[in-house]
Amino acid sequence: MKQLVASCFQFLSFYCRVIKLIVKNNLASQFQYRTSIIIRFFGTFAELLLTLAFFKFLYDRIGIIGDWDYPKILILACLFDIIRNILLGCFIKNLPKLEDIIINGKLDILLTKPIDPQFYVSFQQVSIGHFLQIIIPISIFCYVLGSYPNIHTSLGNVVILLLNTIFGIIIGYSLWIFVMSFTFYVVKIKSLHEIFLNLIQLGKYPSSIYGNNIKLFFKYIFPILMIASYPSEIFLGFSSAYGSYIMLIISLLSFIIARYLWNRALTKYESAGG
Amino acid sequence: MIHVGLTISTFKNFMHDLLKCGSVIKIGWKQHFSYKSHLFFSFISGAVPLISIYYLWTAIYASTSTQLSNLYSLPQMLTYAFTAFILNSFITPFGLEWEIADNIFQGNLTKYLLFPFSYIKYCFSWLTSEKLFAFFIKLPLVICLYLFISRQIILPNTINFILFLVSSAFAYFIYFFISFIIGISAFWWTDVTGFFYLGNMIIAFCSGLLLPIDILPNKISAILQITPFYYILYFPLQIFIRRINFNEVIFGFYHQLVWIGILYVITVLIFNMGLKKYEAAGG
Repeated sequence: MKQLVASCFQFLSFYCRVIKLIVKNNLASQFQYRTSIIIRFFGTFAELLLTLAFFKFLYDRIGIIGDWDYPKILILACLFDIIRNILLGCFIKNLPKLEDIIINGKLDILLTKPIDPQFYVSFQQVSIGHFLQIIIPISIFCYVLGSYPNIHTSLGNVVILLLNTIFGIIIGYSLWIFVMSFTFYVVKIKSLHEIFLNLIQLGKYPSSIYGNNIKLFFKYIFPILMIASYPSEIFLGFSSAYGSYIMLIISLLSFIIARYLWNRALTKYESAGG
Repeated sequence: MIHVGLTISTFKNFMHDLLKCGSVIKIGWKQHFSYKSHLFFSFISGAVPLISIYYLWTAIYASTSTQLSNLYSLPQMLTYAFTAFILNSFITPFGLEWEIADNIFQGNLTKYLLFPFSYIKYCFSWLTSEKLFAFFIKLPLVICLYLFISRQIILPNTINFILFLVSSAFAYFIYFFISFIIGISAFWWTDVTGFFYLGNMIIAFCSGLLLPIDILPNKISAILQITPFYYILYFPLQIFIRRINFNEVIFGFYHQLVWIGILYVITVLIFNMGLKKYEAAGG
């Protein structure tokens, strides 16, 4: 038992060291393009502002959509933006490159490295800019919480939200890996990551707007709505706090299935062009 | 006599350029053919947000107090939202800015400057070849989509549809010049991806992709009406959903043509200014 714990600890500390090194190297290289990071920062800020403006102009005309008033939709929009930026920050520089890695046989080198290939393919680089962009939705999120007393906030509620956010990120990553695994089978389709990036847009809106069948499908079978929509529903009291257990189970299942599919897909790799 | 001679010579040059552009389109068509599955799947994946658009608007119109219905009925709004998405995917010069910036950074622009016609015409021809090819790949999907939602939307009559196609063609020119201008900012800035991203966001909003412009507050709407963005999506879509009369259409065409002229001149001027800064590094 002691040996198992020690090896687990060694395993984790190894991957933590690798992540630390990756972040350090990326900080050095990406801060050479500070101007671009700043403009991109404004770009994403503009994107969030446009989403908020979209809802603002709509709510000015309509008042409410179902049970969702303007502050609640702001919470969802911000949470979606936070999770999306974390996912993009971690993986946008890596997972879309998978097609190139496979076509050019670059995976050969990765497979010989003493590191898990899925980990390496997923975390080779990080996009620092996307992490910086989280500041804005977090600020708006806090502002909304402070300004609208009808949103119940307690420490427990915030802790649950943080946990659900982590589960949401795990689900997002698992679905992305799941989609990208198809690259091993259909190398010529260059836009698999676009499928994922477009699919997550479904989670930008309250799940209550969707029809029952679609909602069930995107909650439990291909759980896109579990990434941001469901966590914000739990936080805002639309769903019970026990929903966090469902989030935990779905995130674990998604990860296990994605891992299994990735390993299966890896056996299809033919090292072409390497 | 001299005047006639000049006219004939200009016409000959124009035809000559057109033939060369035609060759670029032909070559481009062949190259794009190898990416047909990519185009097909990117359109399918791009259509995914239509699910949320459909349900969002349906939920909004199901809300009790809606002032929106005074402006747009649900079928009009769904038609607007769906057609905005489809028209946008047909006319957006996606990736043009990146291609131009890449050519400038890598020094590959030098090669294009030696071509017997301008880089602007080359980019336009190349992009047109891609768009024409994409049009034929996406067309069956678009027809299926409209058939699938035909009960929920309104379709234009033949005349409106023809006018819509004409205004969309003009919109394509406007969008091309705007994207080209954004792309050649790479002459001055070394890393411009953030700027491109910001530019695309602004165009998406100002052209009416997210919301019809007349839903926005009056001041914003009035400002947008005097910009070229207004004529990229919003104006063609107003023709499609039959919200403007023939005179307004003609007036809109006139504005589109004026904007094409203005943007063409600005594009040429900025491109020539940029060429003075161009160092052909790595080329």
